[in-house]
Parts: sequence; C-alpha cells; structure tokens
Amino acid sequence: MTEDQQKIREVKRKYEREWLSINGVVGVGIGILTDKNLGIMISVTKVDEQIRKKIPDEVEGIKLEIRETGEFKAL
Amino acid sequence: MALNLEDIRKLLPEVRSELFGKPNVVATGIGYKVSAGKQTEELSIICSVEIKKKKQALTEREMVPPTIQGVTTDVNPTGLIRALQDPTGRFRPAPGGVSVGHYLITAGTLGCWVKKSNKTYILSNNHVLANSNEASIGDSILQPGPYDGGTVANDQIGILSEFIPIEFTETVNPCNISNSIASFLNALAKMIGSKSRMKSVRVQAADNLVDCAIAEPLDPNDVKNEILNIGNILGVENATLGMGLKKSGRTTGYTTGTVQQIDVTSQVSYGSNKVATFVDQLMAGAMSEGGDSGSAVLSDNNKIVGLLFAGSSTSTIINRIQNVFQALNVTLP
Repeated sequence: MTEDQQKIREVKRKYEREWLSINGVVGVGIGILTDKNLGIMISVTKVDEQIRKKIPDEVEGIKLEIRETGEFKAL
Repeated sequence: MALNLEDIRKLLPEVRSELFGKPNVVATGIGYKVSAGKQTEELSIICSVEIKKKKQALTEREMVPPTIQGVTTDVNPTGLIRALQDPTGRFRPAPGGVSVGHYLITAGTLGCWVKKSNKTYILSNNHVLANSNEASIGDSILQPGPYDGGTVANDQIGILSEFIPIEFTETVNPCNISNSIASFLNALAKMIGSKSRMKSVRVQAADNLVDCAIAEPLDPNDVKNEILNIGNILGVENATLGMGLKKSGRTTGYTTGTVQQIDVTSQVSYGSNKVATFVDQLMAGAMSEGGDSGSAVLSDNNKIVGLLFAGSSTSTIINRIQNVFQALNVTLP
C-alpha cells in the first residue's frame, strides 16, 4: 500500500462512523474520484442539501465525493 | 463481385440449406470478410464452423465454396454453439451460478463448491442458505430455490451445515420509546431524591465482514466443480481498485464490472427493519439484482475474489473471499 492509501485509510477510519450516522449516508469507501485521484467516496440514498452541508469536500487534505446509490439491500 | 447488404440478405435464405448441409457448419450470417487476419470491406456470407479443417481433409462436397451465387464466403471457427442454460432450472450435477435456497426463502445463487476437512460443500450467503440467522443446522437446501419451483420432496440438494451469524443493528427508532422510559424513570429518580440519572443509548452492534454459509450435498455425485457460463475457478486473488470482475448469477446470469471502491463500510437492509453494518467490503457498479446473492465473483483471469451479497440499482456489494474462506475455514476444492 502506498503512503497515500495509508493516509486515506486512516482518515476514513477516523471519521466514517460520524458520517455513517448522518441520515441517508449508507456507505464510506476508498475509490478513484471524478478528478482521477484516490479519495473517500460517500454513498447516499439520495443527495440533498442536508447531506451536502454535513459532508465536507475535504478532510485533513483528503478529498471526499458524494455518490447517489440508493439504499443497499441484501439481494 | 461486391453485392450490397440487402442483396445478400435476400440471397441468404436461398443458400442457407445448402451451407447447413456441410458437416461442420453451425451458423450462417452476413459480415465483412476477414482475409489474412484483417477485416476487408467486402461483405460476405460467414459460415461458423466448430473447427476449421484443412482443405485436404475435406471432400469437395463437404467444403464451403469460396463463392456461392456470386457472394464471397468466409469460414469462422466458433466452436460448438450451445444455448446459454437458464440458471433457474434444476441441475444435477449442480455447478455454481444456479438457483439455490433454504426451503423458507425465495431463491439465491449457488456461489461455488468449497472444501473443508476433505468434504465438499455449497458456498453461498447466510441469507440464502440460513434464512438470515433464522434457520437450523440440518435444514433442507433446495436447487432450484423455492421461488423457481424447488420443493423439499423433489429438489433437496443438501442440508445446511454452518453459517456465520449476521449481527443486526437496532434502528427502528427504539430511541423514542427508550427516551420516554428514561425520562419517566429520571422523573421518578428526582422524586425519590436519587442522584443517578439514566440516558437511553443505541447499542452499537458488532461489525460484519461476511454474509456466508455452507451446505453439505446429499449425494457427492451432484457436485459439479465449475461455474455456469464461466468454467473452472483457477485460484484465489486479492481484489484491487479498478480490477475487472465477472459473475454468473441466478437472476442476471453472466455479467461483468469493475472494483470501484475498496475498504467499504456500508449499511445493508435485510427487510423488515433489519439493518447490518459491513466492513472491508468491495463495491462494483450495477452487475446484479435480487436473486444473484451468493454468486462467486471472479477476476478477469477466473480467480475468485469475492462473494456477492447486496446492492442497489447502481452498485453491487461484495464480501472479500479471503474473509469468507477464513470465517468458514474452507478452501477451493
């Protein structure tokens, strides 16, 4: 694992419970963002203003991106 | 002579029976002729054959003529063309990728066969083989699953051997009730002069790594150690970002995708207000629907990387196979 990935993982672990406790947030993972850089992806049932306000664009130098996925269900 | 597409299309039904009379031809169609490995601009009647044989090995009658009624022909070796089999049917022996389920559920997918202490077992999800913790060891496992017509009397393929319990989180706003209970008790405490006060808290359930279970076949002859429309599993691999994926499942059959996220923590709904939190998951794009649960997920080079269990209209969530194998203490056969 690269240093970048390690840092992203640390930041993700530190904040993910806080983000997951926001109504509508259903997942937090590490992925390649729209700008092609590695960052944190936040899966939400529906993108709305409340969520946009509570999820920052960046935390400790790591970029976050919100992605609308709908609810995850056992298939 | 170069004919246009419409001309050839009209001609094809006339010559089709002659071409199908040749012993190796399995399909005919229209396409650009390939010459010396390169596609030309010449439209031709393409005859698909099981195996391309040398001219010397064929009699003139067996050979596809270079032109037929003025249209160039081409011969393309495709192998034997088989209908893709419907995974919701009954299979004995049964491969991975087909319908399976505990007798009280609808249907899921038989992931693959695995080995534990020299015995072979069906691998799938807990919510497919063990009815989301509700089943008992020894319960009937049906192939196909009940939704696809499987019955205990006729289609039992095995019995539930082991499952990893899923830890569900209480989320149905227990807080409203517990808050009022707490405030009532606190008021009472105040009245009787006690200094301690209560606060309702939501108990954090343990995180889950896997949704998995195994079932033992009744008859070892029912084991077909491959995956429908994919073939043999060639080993185990560690999934990484961007990796190409494939699976064969009960509902959507053969589909492909890529690893879009790793190290995913997510909340998954199991119906009737049951939610479970999963950690260290893989996320891929839309490559599954209800009934595909339990599918083995393979890399481009046919190595197993995960066990599919959840998703939404845009995404698929997959357990890492290393976590599954470790939890159940199983390996590939």
